[in-house]
Amino acid sequence: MGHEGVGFKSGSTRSGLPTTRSRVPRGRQIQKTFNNVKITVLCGFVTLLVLRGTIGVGNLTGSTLESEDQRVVEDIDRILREIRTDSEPEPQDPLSSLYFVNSTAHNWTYAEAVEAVNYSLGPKISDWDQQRQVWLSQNPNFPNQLLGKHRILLVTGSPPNPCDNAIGDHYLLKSTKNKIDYCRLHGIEIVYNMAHLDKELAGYWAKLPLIRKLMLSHPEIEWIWWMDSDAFFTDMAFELPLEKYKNHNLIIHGYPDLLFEQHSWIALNTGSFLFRNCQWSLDLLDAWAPMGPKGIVRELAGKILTANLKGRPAFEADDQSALIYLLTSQQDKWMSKVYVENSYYLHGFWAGLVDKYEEMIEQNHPGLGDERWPFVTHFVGCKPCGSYGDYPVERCLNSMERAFNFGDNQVLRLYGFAHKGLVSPKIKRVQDQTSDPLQVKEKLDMAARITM
Amino acid sequence: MNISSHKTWQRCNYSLFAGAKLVILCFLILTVTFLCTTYFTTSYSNLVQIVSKSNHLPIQQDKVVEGVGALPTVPQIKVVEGVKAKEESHFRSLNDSTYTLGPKINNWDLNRAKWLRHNPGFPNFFSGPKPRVLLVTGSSPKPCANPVGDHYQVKAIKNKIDYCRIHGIDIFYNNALLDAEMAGFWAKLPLLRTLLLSHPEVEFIWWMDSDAFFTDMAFEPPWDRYEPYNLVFHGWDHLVYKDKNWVGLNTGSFFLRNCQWSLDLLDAWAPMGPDGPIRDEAGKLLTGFLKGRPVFEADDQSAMVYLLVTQEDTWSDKVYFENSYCLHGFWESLVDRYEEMLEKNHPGLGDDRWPLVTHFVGCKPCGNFSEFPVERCLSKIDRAFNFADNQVLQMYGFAHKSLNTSSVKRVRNESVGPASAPDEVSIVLYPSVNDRN
Repeated sequence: MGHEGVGFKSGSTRSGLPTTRSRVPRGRQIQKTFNNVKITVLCGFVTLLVLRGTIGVGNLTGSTLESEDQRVVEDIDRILREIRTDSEPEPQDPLSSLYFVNSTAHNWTYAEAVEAVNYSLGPKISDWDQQRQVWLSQNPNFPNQLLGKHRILLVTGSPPNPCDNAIGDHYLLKSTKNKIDYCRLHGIEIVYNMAHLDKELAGYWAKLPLIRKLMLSHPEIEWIWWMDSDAFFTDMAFELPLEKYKNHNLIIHGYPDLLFEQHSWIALNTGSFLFRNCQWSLDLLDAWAPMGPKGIVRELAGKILTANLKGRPAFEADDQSALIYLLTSQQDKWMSKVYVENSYYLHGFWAGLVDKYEEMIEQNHPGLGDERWPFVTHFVGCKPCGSYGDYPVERCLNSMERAFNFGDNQVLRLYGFAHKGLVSPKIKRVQDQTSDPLQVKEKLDMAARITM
Repeated sequence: MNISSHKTWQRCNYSLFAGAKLVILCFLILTVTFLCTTYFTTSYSNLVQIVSKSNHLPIQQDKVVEGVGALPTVPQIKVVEGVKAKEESHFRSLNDSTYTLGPKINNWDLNRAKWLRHNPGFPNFFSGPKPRVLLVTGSSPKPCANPVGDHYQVKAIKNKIDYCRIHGIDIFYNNALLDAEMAGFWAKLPLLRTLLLSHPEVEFIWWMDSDAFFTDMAFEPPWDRYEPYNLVFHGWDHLVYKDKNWVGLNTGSFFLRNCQWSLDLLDAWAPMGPDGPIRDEAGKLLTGFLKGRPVFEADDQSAMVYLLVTQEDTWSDKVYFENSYCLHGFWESLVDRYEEMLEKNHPGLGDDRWPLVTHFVGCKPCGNFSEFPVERCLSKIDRAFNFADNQVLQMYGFAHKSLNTSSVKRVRNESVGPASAPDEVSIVLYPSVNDRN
């Protein structure tokens, strides 16, 4: 730097030049040198201070609070790790010992693998309809109808451990509240499952043993309604048209042309469907389960499904593809009792719906259940609980918040409130308090238009 | 010529040196300014932390913003609703009009009875003495500050779903702050009033904190015992009226009947609640008046004790202090005895042999500031949850491998038919349907 150069030539600010110039007294020169050095040192000190402040700890008053927070955060991290390691070890593939013993690996076929594993959901039951009738007649306190409506049990669940992504648990909570609200309004009971009942049928297959178990344990229940944890009710007024399903045992959202003509792997959606509590359903579950056991069976089944279903990527067998394959390959046996529903969104794929909520509020009203006011908005592919979704995380979370608030508005309306916007958790009063609340209650209509 | 050039040179040299000094000086000023700015902004955020710490409220980072569109590049640190920065003066002051929950209602009993007569499909009593009960609970609409907090909220609500399904009770899970003035523990008051007025068919509201877990799935509260009363707390008469103890009763789990008396009580209870100077001043009053109360702003529990003591003649005849079973069970003395309970006792007792409710007071799994070590709290909550879950899973032939793990094992072979008569240990877990018909 310039001034250093000047300083170094200490006292010689005027030296190095023709000697015609008079010399400055040495003492004065030394003093000037000292001044320069002092300034340099001072600036250096300030620079160090600034650097320490920006990249070091720096702040004096904040240090104690921060270290306390740091301790709490470390505690929580450690606890999270402990909780996660508490989870079950991966179920051992029952065939793995056979598979790897020989150096020349035997090429299992799917049929061989299924036979070797010999999985079953439980002891074979052949007379469930009669058993159930007998039980119902012996237990008149537990009828299968309430106020003229068949009893429905909504079944949902989530893994017993915290989500990999903390925000995932928050949306599980909101999704549960959403289901509690719909079911309270429609007299439906809820079972929230957090237990791995069957190690072999883990993951998306876990619903099969659960549904069977609940059917057999609750003969008073007429319909078991499985609903994924990432599906939200967005039409609080819509009632399932059960009379349409008098002669059917499986109600599932899908498209017949995609199913029968194209054999598409997304022709049906197993995120929201109803099973009647009867022998037929037990038989279907038994026929559905074989592709599920984790390990070699699921892998080989996955290859078969990818080969036979249109558009299916290569991965292990999932329950949805397996059901589609089962129903299309054994059409005559099963399809007469399956109702492929698409007149309303028993399952509504979120991407095409979430941006239209404001438009729906403006033009339509609750109770329709279809694309004008979707019954269920299902966040397929978002996986907020896990680490890897198929869509950008922020878009998913933003959209889930909107769907939740869209549904919540229809509940809050009954109490005179609404969300300030579809993305805001804050609410505002939309109806003044009155000293005659029952008069207001008389006029409440769940299917009335909503004003934001 | 030489002299002048020398002088010029001298001037140049001098000005070079002075210029250098000027540069140094500017640099110095800039760095000092920068230092000061960083110091003051960080100390503001510390202030925010201190304020919300004392209010037992977590700071949330807003991940979701209003309006559809791009998210802000800098996450904004917002204080939870209700705790405004001290610079704002939106707080109700002691000189303003008294806070009210809503317009005064005077003829609720009459109007409600009329409504019930006109709506026979929504009776307030099922056959026998069993009233229609609405369990009310809830939590903040924003994600917990603690990353595992929401997971425990999910477990808590599952636990309540199970109990309520078995006992034919409806649940209202509240996620909304109905009145910004009554934030925090006071939020239940406007909620209770709203629900009482909107659900005339409900006979009792059962308020339950989100950190309270059902641990006796078989126990049914003795409703006929409460026929002459409108408000049932877990607590002790003498601790409240004689001792004026601030924990003489617990507002974490209580029954409130749907009637005019309850509306009046809520109105009398509310005035200490509004956030700001009123809550602070009331807190001081309560600390001075009640035994054992630490110094902090007014809370609903202390205010209730104060109300009952100072207006004993008005309210006490309709308030029942239940201590024959754990309508609220303080967790510390219960959670380590579950194995002993399993060995010696059975579900259905509801008292400290098999508590109805295990309440994790002070744990605050959602926030960052717990009165107890975080690890102890969370591991004990897991135990309480598993203890209760076992009573449900048993019906399906499963149980947790131990109270400390989420893994389950089969405890009964698969049957080929529906469950027949319940054995001694399992309980009839089917909803009492005839009552709901």
